[in-house]
Amino acid sequence: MADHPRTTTLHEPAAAPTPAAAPALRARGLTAGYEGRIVLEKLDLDVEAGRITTVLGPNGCGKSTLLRTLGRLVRPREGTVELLGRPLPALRPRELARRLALLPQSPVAPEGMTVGDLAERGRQPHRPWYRPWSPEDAAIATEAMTSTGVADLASRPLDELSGGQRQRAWIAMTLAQQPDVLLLDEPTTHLDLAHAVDVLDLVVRLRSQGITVVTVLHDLSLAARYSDTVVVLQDGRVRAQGPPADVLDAGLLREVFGLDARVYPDPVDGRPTVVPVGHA
Amino acid sequence: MTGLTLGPVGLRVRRRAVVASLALLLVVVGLGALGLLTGPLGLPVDRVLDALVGSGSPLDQLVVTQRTDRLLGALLVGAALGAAGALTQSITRNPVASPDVLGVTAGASAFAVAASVRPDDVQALLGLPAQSAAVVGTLVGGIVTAAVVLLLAHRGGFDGYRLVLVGLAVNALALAVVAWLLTRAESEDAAVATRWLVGSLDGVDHGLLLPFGLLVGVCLVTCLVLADRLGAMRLGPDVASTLGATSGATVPAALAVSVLLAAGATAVAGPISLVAFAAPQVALRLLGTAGPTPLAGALTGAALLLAADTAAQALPVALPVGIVTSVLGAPFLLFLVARSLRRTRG
Repeated sequence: MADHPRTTTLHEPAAAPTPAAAPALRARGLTAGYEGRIVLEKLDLDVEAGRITTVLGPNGCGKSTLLRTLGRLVRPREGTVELLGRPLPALRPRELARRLALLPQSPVAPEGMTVGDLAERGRQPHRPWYRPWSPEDAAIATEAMTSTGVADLASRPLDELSGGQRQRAWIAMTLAQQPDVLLLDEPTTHLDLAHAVDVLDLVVRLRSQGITVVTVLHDLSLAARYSDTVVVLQDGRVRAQGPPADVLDAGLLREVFGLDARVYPDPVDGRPTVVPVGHA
Repeated sequence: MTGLTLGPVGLRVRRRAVVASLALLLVVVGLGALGLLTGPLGLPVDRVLDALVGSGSPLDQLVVTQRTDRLLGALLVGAALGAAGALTQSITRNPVASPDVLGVTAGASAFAVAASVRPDDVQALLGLPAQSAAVVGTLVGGIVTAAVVLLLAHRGGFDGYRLVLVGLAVNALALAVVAWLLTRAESEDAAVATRWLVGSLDGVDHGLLLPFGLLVGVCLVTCLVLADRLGAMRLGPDVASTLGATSGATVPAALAVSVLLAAGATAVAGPISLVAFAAPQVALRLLGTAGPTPLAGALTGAALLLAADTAAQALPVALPVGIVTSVLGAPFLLFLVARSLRRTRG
């Protein structure tokens, strides 16, 4: 798969691709859904390690369900998911939580919880209840807050923060888990563009630390700018997968989203940018 | 460096909890000493101390035993209610969902009165001595009421308002049953009636203190074991699960402990209202903990109930402590409900 080198100063260079590496996540024949409703049907997907993969698709196509199934919040009815070569059911809950972190859409923290409390909570999978809090745990939680840019806010309650700060605090919790794979369900929802870009820049930095990131995004142009791979879902299956420039074109947008749009290379690094014209 | 400035910040957060806990302990010790050394019969301090070490006159011993029973009762019941409230508030993620607001203590009380009105039937039915009828009644009542509330409120999950509204209705119903049973029984003992209607620490049963103390101890240790999983659950079931704290056994265990504590507290002092609700919420504001934690709730509950009982006795007309907690707790409840409404709208 072709890598897209970046030239902007905003982004650090992409992690060196390891072509023969096993996928971080591998789904085969995945069928999943909720009471009486099948959302994913016989879906196959490989998520490349050390890359940013973004799941796209119209509302209700199963993006969140896919993410939740990959993170074992939803048990598939059929099919398998493998995390770094091991089937999910073989992993004990805490073991899974040390390898894979998932941030659900719009999580809510209890009253009075501070940014520091939240980051420390991420150490839970590494720490049985009888083992006291260690300096190492503290250092890792602090590092997580530093890399998400919320260390200065450590003693502030979450309900006093802006939406962008709060989202980065939640990501700090997932980083304190020290996961290999991070799943972010619509991390930019309810954020203005500047804060959304903050969060996505952070995602790029995480990739440079070797973390495999899978996100769900709604904004096609943002997804194109920040993803190594986009996965387009339609009716519970993978309709297309690949580098944004190869996947996002007017024909696909018309068929999958029912959208009449023009796709141009952006002036910064030539990735596709989507200009909607109207409903197809 | 951020890492260095963070250390003191992290410490300061914990220091606040330590300082607040010490302050609460100081309140407990101060009010406890006040309760032991002063009282209606006005024993001089030296005679109280003599009686405490077992060398006083039989009458002094009797008076002092009553005072220690009242003190221990207040501390144990307060701790039990505070921890019970923190447990249900944590698993439902609802600050108003506590065993007293949800009617569990009132239900326990109703069963206790029903059992003590007909002690012979209880004896015939369960083969238990008549004296234990009320205690068995509270435990059975607590469990049955909790089950009824959960069943009525469950609709593919627990909606916060639905749970609280069902709880309030069950609470009102249970208290009406208590009043009706007491009227029918034509109980001449006003103190007993008061205990089962509003809750009181007058004449705490000495024999109940040891078993109740053991129950509270075991339950608090269980809370310690559950603490991490409860902490994750306060972030919601999804996040708890992604942290490896799958909620499977945590919710039933926390519910069981909460119901046992609330029913036990009712057996000792009746359905004292709003301590289980208020103590964890006061605790999280005082200690700065991340949500309502059971141990902080227990400590705060003990201090609050002791303070309320001290105030109740110091009033010109001595009131049962349940009245005082209702009067003090109700505005706090209104404040929290009003604020949570604003939050949902905003």
